[in-house]
Formats: sequence, structure tokens, C-alpha cells
Amino acid sequence: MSPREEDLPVLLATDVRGHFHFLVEAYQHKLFALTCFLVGNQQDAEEIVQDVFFCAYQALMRYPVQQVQTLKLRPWMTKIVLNLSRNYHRRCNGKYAPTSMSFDAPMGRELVDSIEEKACPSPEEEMVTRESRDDLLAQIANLPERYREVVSLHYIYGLPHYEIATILGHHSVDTVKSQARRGFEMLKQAMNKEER
Amino acid sequence: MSSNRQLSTRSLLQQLRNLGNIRAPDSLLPAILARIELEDVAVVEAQTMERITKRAISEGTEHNYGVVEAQTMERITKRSERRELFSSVSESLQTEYGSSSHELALDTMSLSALEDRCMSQIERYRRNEPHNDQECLEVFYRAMVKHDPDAWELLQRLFTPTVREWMCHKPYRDVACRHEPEENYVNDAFARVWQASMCNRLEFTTLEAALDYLKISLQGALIDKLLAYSRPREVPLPDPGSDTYGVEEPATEDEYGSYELWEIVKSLLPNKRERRLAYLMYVGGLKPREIIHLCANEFSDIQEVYRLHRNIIERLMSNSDQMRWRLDGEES
Repeated sequence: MSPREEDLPVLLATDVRGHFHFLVEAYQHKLFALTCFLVGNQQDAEEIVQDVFFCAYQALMRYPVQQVQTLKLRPWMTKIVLNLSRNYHRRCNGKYAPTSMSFDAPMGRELVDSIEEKACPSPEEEMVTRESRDDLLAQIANLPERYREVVSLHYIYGLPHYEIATILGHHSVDTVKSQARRGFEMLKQAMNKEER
Repeated sequence: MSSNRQLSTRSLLQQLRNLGNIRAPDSLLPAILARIELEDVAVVEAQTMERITKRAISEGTEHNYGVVEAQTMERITKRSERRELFSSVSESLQTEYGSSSHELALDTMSLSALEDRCMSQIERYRRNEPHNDQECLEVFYRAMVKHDPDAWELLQRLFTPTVREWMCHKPYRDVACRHEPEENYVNDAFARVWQASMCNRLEFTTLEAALDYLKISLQGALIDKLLAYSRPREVPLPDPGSDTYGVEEPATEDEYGSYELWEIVKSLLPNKRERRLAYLMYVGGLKPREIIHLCANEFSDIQEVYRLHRNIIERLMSNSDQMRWRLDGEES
């Protein structure tokens, strides 16, 4: 049986190798979803998530026991995802800039298919058509980078504002709130423009 | 889009939440665990090498250990060259110690007599008590250098419980055993040692070194299996957007005939580096980034891997008729 998320730091502090797979099992899906939206395609997201866990493993092996025990795993792992995704953009574009993500391309379709195949659709979900979901994904990709990160972390990944502020470091909670609101409004406007 | 209704805040929120339901592919967990195992192998190998080198230096050998150590330390980071590494180390140690470490009396001892002695020595070794390596090393010597099948059977009988015990302590045992029974990993570990001994002269000077090698073989078996299960069994398609994307050719091949297919592919690639890359990608199932990571000294950067891969695809595409014809010929 998998341990509870809050017990993981203590378990990892006692034996990183022995309990690391629990960490992977606990976070792989959420981090993968987040990475998909940050980098824009599933193949690279998969490689980046592998790197994320590998970095985490190396760090956990290096950290003193007390540090591991008190580690807040969710923001810590999310921060690694953000850093590696930013590195990815730098490597790909030569600078830190948002990539344009076309969901008409096969990888975009794959992403949508994976949601449809594996998620358990609620009645509300079923009402959402494939076209509108494609549009939504494309619009998220087109958001300016800082809004894309905050919108992905808050609305898709479900992190509270204060946790996002901690992860992003230089942001206050109010800045995060306003960026999330503004990003959301931009997204809504863009979607409504599409609908018209 | 034809709808005229405005998207409500609630509906947009719901849609965003649904997007968070993407699930990671099943291959992610085994792939991560395999990478971690690889990392641990590198650490174990580094420690083993350090121990061997230190001991050799302290025993006052005349070899130039600075050079040997530099070369071996470079090699230990590469799993694929592990066998070469152990071979070269054992050769250098053999030159150093000669064959005098094998007592004459042991040479003539029967296997059943050796078995009794080994059992008690292994027990002492496992309890960390003072022990004599020589009987066990004699079994390794007969099995791996003289290739005596009876000695090999004895070796397997003697050390299977030890390998099983290591397997029990593997943190990823449960994940690995979801794919195959534990017995297969244990057998695979011995098979790897046997295979290595057929290709190289492997002789150990301590029981610890021999068991380290066996342990690394078990890790190798585990890693390869995890890696194998972490990838879909497909022939990779060219990247979307590349010149060759969408030209033709099916995405998958049946496992049946994969050896023949590889032989044909190999024959169509005159360049040695292209053949090597094709092997790593199509047979080993490695991705470009993994190739750069694992074979850093073979390819300068990821661009080179992509460039060579493009060449391979172009060659195969231009010879697709020949491939099809030869495959048909193989089947009929």
C-alpha cells in the first residue's frame, strides 16, 4: 500500500532508495500534466519529468536527513519542474520565450486523446467538445509566459496562491493572485473571441 | 467554431480542471527507476574500482596506476563498457599476481569437496567473519576461465541464495516483479556473467570482487528489463516536421523477424557510426538524449545524433524496396 503524501518526507529521510518509487507514484501524473502545458509536447514532457525525478533523487541522496524530513515535497518538485522547463525553453529558443504550441499537430491530438482515454469523464466534462478543448489548449500556449505558468499552476495543477508565490520566489501572494486573475481573463477573452 | 454562446467563468474553470487529468504514460515509472539503478551502478562500480586500485597501489605494484586509474575511471561511467572494464582490470591484476594465487591443492580438489568447503566459507563471509576466499575463487576460476560446465552449475548453486537475497533488498523489486518473476532476474544475472566470461578472461582475486561483479550483473539485468518495459515495442518514426515525416512505412513491426530486420537494416548502412546509432536506437530502444547521456564519448552532441539519424532514415527510405523485397524473401 502506498504511504500518505505527508508521510513521504519521513520515509525518504530514513531510506531514499527504498521509498523513492512512492514519490514517483505520488507525483508523476500531476507533474507530467503540468510539464505538458509548460513545454507544449508530450515527448519532451516525458523526458523532462524523468529528469525532474532524477534531479530530485540526486538531491535527496545529498541532503542531510533533517532537511529531507522537513521538505515540502509538492512545492519543491514543482519548482524543479519549472526550472527544467525554463531550461528547456532556453535550449530550444536561445532565450526564455514562450513556444507556440499547435494542437493541430499530431502531438497536440495525442495530448487530447490521452485526456479522453484516461480521465474519467463527468457529465459536465462530456459536454465539452473536442474542438473547444483544442482551442483552450492552444490559447494557454499563447499566453505570455508568466501568465501561462501561474494559470497552469493554479487552475490546472490546483496549487493555492501562497504556494505558487513560494515556488516562484520573487512573487508576492497578491502578485500571483492578480497574475492568475489577469491570465484567466485573457484566456476567457481569447476563448470568447474564438467563439464569435 | 459555430457556437454563438459566450464561455462562462464556471465553464472555463471546469475545462481547465479537466485538463489537469492528463496521466503520465505507464512507461514513466520504470524508466525513472532504471535511470536511478544506472546511477547506482555507476556509484558501485566507482567504489569497486577505487577499492581495487587502492589495494593494488598499497601492494606496491610496478604498474603505472595513474594511467590505468584514469582510463578505468573514465570507463566506469559507461555501463555498456562494463565488461571491458572488468576484463582489463582483471587482466592487469592477473599480470600482477600471476596464477600463483591458485593453490596446487585446490587445483586437484574435486567439485564436491570444494562445494562443502565453499558453503562454510560463504556462510562466514555473509556473517562478516574472517574467511578464506580461495575455495570460492577456485570455483569461479573453473567456471569462468576453464569453462567447466559442472563448475558453472556449482557456482550457480552456491550463489543463487545470495543473489536472491540481493534481489529481496532491491527497492524496486516489486515494480520489477510486476513484469517478470524474480527467478528470471536471478537467472539473467548468472547468464550475463557466463556470457561475459565467454568473451573475456574474467578472473577475480577476491570473493568480494567476484560478488561485486555478480551484483552488478543483477543490477544490469534489472535495468535492462525495466528499460525494456519502459518503451513501447515500436520502430521509431521520424520526428514530425522533419523532411522524412509522413512519407510512408508503417510504424510497428511484429516481434517475429526482428532479428532479420535488424540484419537487413545493418547491411544497408555502410557507415559504422550510423550502424552504431541505428543499433542504439532501434535495437536498444534508446532516445537521442539517452544516447548522449550513456555514450557521451561516441557522439559529440544531440545535433550530431539527429543528423546521423536523418541520414539513416534517408538511406532506409531510399532502399525501402530492397528492404521489402528482402523481408519478403526471408518470410517465404
